[in-house]
Amino acid sequence: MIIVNPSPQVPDRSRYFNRLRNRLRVWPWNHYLLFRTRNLSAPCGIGVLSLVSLVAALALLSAPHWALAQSHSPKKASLPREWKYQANPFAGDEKTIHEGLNLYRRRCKICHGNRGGRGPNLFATQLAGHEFLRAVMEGRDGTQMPAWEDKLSEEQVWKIMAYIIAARS
Amino acid sequence: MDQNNSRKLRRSAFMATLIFLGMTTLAAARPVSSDDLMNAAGNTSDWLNHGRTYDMQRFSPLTQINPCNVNNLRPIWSFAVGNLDGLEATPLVHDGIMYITSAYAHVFALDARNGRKLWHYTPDVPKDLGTVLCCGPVNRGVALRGNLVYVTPLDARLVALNKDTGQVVWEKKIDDWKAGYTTTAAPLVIRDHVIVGVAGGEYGIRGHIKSYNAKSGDLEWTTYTIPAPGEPGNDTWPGDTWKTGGAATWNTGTYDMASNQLYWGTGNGAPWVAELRKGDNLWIAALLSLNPDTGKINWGFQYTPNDAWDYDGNMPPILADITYEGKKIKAAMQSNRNGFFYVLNRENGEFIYAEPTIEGINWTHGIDPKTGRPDVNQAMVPKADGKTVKPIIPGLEGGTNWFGFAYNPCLGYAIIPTNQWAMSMTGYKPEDITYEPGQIYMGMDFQMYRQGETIGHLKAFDVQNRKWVWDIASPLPFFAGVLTTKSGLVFTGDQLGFIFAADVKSGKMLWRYQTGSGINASPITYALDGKQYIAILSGLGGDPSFYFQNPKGGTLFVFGLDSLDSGAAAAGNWEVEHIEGALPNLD
Repeated sequence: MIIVNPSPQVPDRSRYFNRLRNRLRVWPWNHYLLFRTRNLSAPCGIGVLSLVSLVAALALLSAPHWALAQSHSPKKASLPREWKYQANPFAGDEKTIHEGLNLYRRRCKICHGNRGGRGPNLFATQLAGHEFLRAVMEGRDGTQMPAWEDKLSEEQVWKIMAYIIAARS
Repeated sequence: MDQNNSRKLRRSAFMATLIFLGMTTLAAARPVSSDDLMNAAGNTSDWLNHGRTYDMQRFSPLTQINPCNVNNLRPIWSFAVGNLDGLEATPLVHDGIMYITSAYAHVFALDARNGRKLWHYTPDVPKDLGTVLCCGPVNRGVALRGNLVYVTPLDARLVALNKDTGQVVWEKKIDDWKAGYTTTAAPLVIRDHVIVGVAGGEYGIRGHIKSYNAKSGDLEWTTYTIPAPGEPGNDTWPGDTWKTGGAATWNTGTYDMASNQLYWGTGNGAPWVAELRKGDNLWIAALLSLNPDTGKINWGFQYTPNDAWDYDGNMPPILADITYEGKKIKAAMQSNRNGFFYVLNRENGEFIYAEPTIEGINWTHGIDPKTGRPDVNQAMVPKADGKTVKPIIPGLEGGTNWFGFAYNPCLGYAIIPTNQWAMSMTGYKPEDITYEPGQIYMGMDFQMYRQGETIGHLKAFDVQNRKWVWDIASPLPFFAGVLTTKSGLVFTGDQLGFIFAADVKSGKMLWRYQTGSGINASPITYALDGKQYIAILSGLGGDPSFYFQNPKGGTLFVFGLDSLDSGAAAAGNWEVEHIEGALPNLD
């Protein structure tokens, strides 16, 4: 799976407690902790001391880590659910088609190539109109296609489509 | 939570962490010292540097696996990285722990004996980062020093992780990803410096190399690969073109301990249409020698002045002492995308010779035997006129691209993956080529072409006698690094999914194993408890995924001569993450 928006590294405090609780249920838990320290021959005392400080550290650490995770969490932009145009306003317009070509060159071609490449061949796409618009703006889960909503306007995507349709015919 | 409480809590957390770490480190892997990195040549149990040793030879003195028994190699364990994007990393091994990266710079620490996952670092990356990635979300590995593991997540950051826990210790912003700066290379540690480069040559960045303090992460120096006005070489750029001229530094560097020189390769010029930046354009498509303590450039050698074909020179050079025409030479060797294998004097950048690695090179009439400067074939230079130039040989992928070749000092052979293919290029008209931060700034279309049944050729080259020795052909391009051993073996992988071993003297194929996906990473070897292992990441992606769609995969394979004892293989806790509430205990 492609992880473009991976979950924060340390999601929250309760998850840690839950995981810890689950692990402590597993018998023999002291063996587990000794293994965690990668010192199977260490005396039990180190295991017990490690356990005490591990519990303290994990409990208290969650605060700064929560803050760190927050500072990196991706921006949750609101997705455009309603489009300005019901159909391509630029279809067949020569000047726009050239603009669409230049947009395709700058934004799409590096992956989609002349006839597909790392991304699918857009000149053979089965997506039309709003399906295409949505795929571009929101990205495609499970692929390397990113969300373009902060980089391209709705008009620009329609222009790219106008170019693709013109080039196809 | 009010601010005071939060601060107290963090302070307590800090103290608790210190106590905890203080105890656990008693038992954890040793820190990696600067001496460990410098003396890696004598350490056969680990693989500590990107190319094993600072000279980047990818040569191991291990001999347990040899031409007589290599046919008995078998997979000992494997590890699925959990996604299907390309894998390009060289694993590092230290004190029984293996550190690998996958796409999006995830880092995994694994028990090198059995593959048990010790920790996994997931970098947060912006959701639209893919809008500035020319060549996939790849990463080429980590570097080690002290108790830290260094990695560069794609959005131009340097992150230091605790090597025992994977927790972030510090992180630094290298540059602005929104302007097209990204990071894919393994960092390079020299003493207390962590040195990093940037990608983005297709987005009109101004390339640079930066050094950070290994402990604190403080920025020590920045050296731009394109000189500003007033600096030597700026006159090779017309007007303001130097600001957006490319010369990215997207692969790691090589270090010469004796002369304290750091060598770093640079990438294509931007835009690709060279007539828009008339002049040599220092230092695009070049090898730079720098002082790692100050970042000062000692000298540079430009493989492809005024590069018009995307012939990046980013593969790090291999350093070796050779005898050529009766003279002892401290050489730096590099196999270039422009189709030539270069031998330079690594002390001063003097050109020794260049040898074509493929047939039919036509972007140049030849290389000046004294200076190394190409005599460019103007008929093969695409212009800003909308006309297609075809066929240009080699295609922009090379020749040899970024992946490390290997040098076997016992024989004096360089074992080089080369690719025989061609391309067309069509420059846009000037009015269609404008710079916008974070947008493609190539100004050109290209198309790669197959020239025959085979593209990939793994070749052995006798550097001292300047002779090709053998050739293993493949229908698809070679995009993996190479490993060679004192026992007389060479290992690499192909795009069909095979990792294979050949006799380094004869090129005779001795063993192969199908990994299930194309191989774009570099094999390593290490020894634990008296047993030698071979490890490689398998996963189609990066540039090869432009051209074909073989099955994707994402798996690390480790091979050895004996299977693991079944008890040892299953021992320990395997870090299975339980889904809360999904499988409760029966009360």
